[in-house]
Amino acid sequence: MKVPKPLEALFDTFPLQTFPVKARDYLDSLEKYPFLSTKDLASSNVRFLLAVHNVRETELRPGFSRFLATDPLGLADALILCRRHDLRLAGGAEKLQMVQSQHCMVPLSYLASPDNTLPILVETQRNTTKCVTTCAKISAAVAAKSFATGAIDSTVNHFLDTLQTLWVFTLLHEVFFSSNEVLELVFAASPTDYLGTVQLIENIQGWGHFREKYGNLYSDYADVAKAPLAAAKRLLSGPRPTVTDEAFKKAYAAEIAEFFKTLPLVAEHIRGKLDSEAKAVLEIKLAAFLVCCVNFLPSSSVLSSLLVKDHLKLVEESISVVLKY
Amino acid sequence: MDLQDELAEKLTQNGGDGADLSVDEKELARLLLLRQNLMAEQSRAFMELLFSENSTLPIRVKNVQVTNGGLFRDTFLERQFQPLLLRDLLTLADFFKAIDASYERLQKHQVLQNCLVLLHPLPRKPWQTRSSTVEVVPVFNLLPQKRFYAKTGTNVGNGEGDGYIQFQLRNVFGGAENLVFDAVTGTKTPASYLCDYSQPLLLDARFLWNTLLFVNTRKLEAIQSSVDTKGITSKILTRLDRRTNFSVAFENCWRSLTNHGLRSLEVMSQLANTYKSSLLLNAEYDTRDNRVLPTVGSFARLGLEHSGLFKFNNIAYSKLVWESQLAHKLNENHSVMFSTRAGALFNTRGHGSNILDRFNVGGPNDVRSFFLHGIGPKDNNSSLGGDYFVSGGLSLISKIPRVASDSNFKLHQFVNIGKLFRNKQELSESFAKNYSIGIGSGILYNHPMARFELNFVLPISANSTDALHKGLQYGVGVSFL
Repeated sequence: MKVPKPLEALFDTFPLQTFPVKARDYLDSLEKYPFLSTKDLASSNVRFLLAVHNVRETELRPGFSRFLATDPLGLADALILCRRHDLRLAGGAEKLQMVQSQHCMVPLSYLASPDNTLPILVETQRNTTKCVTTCAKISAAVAAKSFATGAIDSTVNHFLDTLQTLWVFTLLHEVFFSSNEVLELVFAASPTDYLGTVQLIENIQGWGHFREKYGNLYSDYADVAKAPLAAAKRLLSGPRPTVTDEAFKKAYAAEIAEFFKTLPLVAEHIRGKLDSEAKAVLEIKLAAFLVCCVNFLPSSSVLSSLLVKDHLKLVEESISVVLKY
Repeated sequence: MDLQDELAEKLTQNGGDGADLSVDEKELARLLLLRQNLMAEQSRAFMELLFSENSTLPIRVKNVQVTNGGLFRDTFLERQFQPLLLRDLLTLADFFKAIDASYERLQKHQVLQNCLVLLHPLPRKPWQTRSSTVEVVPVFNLLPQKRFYAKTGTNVGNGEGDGYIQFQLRNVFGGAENLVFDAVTGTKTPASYLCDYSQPLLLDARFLWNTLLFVNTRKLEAIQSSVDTKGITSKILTRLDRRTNFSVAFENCWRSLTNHGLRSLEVMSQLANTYKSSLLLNAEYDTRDNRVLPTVGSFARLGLEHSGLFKFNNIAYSKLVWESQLAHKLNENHSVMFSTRAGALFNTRGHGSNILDRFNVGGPNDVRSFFLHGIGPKDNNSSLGGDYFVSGGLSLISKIPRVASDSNFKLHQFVNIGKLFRNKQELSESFAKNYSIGIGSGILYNHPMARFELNFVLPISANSTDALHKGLQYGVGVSFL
């Protein structure tokens, strides 16, 4: 039913008085790590924010530090954004002459993401959020843009994307069999926040298709339903291993072995490629994973120690890739 | 069968309305009723005279007997009959006061369906013939409420729907302890489980101790988020037969705010786990004749909350809330209501306030002519709330012409005003200006359990960020501005 014009006009006169409200930049409430630029950027209303778990200033080489996202996906996406928009990561004395762009990285809780997975890319225009892109969509967009052709590149890209499963496995392995130190390093989780930590560990298992891929490891968790007392004990004592976690250790060992078997092949493939967008993206993804493993996992962790011991050259190459931005 | 019995039977057959009675029979029925009333009045006057003449007559309560009291603990019953057992010898006036007091104590616990009191005077012993003291045994015949009660149902309306199931166990340990378990699932509240245990404090009906365990998930449409809350609240409240009552509560909860189609960066920065421990004090003054739609009387409430009591709490604040209502009857057909609300959130220990703790203004039960949480700053359609607020309303309630005066339908005209202040600076800068004002007129239905309103509303003045509601606005609730 259409409202008669005179009635509509009468309605539109209300409210009789409207008081203007000063526009606010709600970005001020966030802890920001702006990307840098070598050029004097023309001010624009459009900007993007990459929300990541945590950002840490890391000295990659003596005298060369960068503010890095502490998880491989966040770091890789930050570096890809830097490459696409000709930006640089903040940090380092050599960058003093650069200007801050309006684009930035912001540490947020994983609860801020629509699917509880970070990073997310938030694009805004004049304080209005235009688009929130989830982690999965970012990966899909990068793949569609850089690996539309080339089956091998696409396969390597897929392998690098699935390293997220290994990352999740490593985090859980550390938490279950070592300590919660990794959660402090990667997520800035407070050691006193017990309930938040339990919730985080529960959520981590949903990332990188870990729960789907390793559903068999959850059989003993299912048995817990039949033994509520044991479940309560486990909950109270924290997420610590039990004798039934042998399967977990075996699966992790297999995943690690698979990774170190494939790593030289992947590195060789990337090295052998001619300079291209695809090469740059693959290089960034591998570098982000290795740099995060070496810098943000405890040095006693299997992955970190084996990388430093057996693949130091590759790690150095990865650091060089990151230092380019 | 005499004429009276015949008439009584006839009235019963006709459902008591006497529609099929002849004129003479109706006249007879009227006279019979008149006679009954007269006899009751005479009897009451006689008893009053007798009691007033013998008000100082000494009464000795030999003991108090209870029938059907097996469901109650002895200590509980003893506490309720304390007024009767306190002294050995009472005057007749004091004795009746003590009977009333004991009866009221029992009723206040809400565990009885009915309670009948009989008095048995004991025959005097031969050696007591000269004594004027009367020995009495009061007998309380109790009819307890059903111990187990369950109900289930659905609520649909206003674009929402939910289903609920409730179990209630009354008088669990024989001392008026109640246990309620409530489970709700719906569109706005996907899951809510509540376990509520209450018992009188020290067996005294005037003080209630209530412990609430709750786990729920609520969708917060105003901030496109949802919050999972798990917590426990322990509360002591007074139920004094006075105008003023108090409550003190200790609340601990874990709240987890998550994204639900959110675009606001301000709100995104607040999505996290919060651990809240609060001490809440509340004082209420109430002389209204009706809580839902008063025509006379006044109401005032002052609430104070102090949060952040322990080291593990990651939020801290103090909150002060004021609410008042003044109702005045202008004449037989009209009454006015004036309401005010105000709140302040401060002492956040250097951090910004949490969005879940801030105040929100606007909505059909608050400042009408605005959407729920419609007044105040917004970021990408999310209502950010504020640390301070002020609102007020003036309503004229009138009888609908040509409708019975005792009808629950009334006419309603109102003007509402309100403002939300983001922080202390905004409060000091713009306290006296730029208020959002709404007016309207409509019809309301005053149900004993809640008030239903359907109003035609128009905003008169508003801030550019306010979410306006023009036209028909529907509201249901027990508390309105």
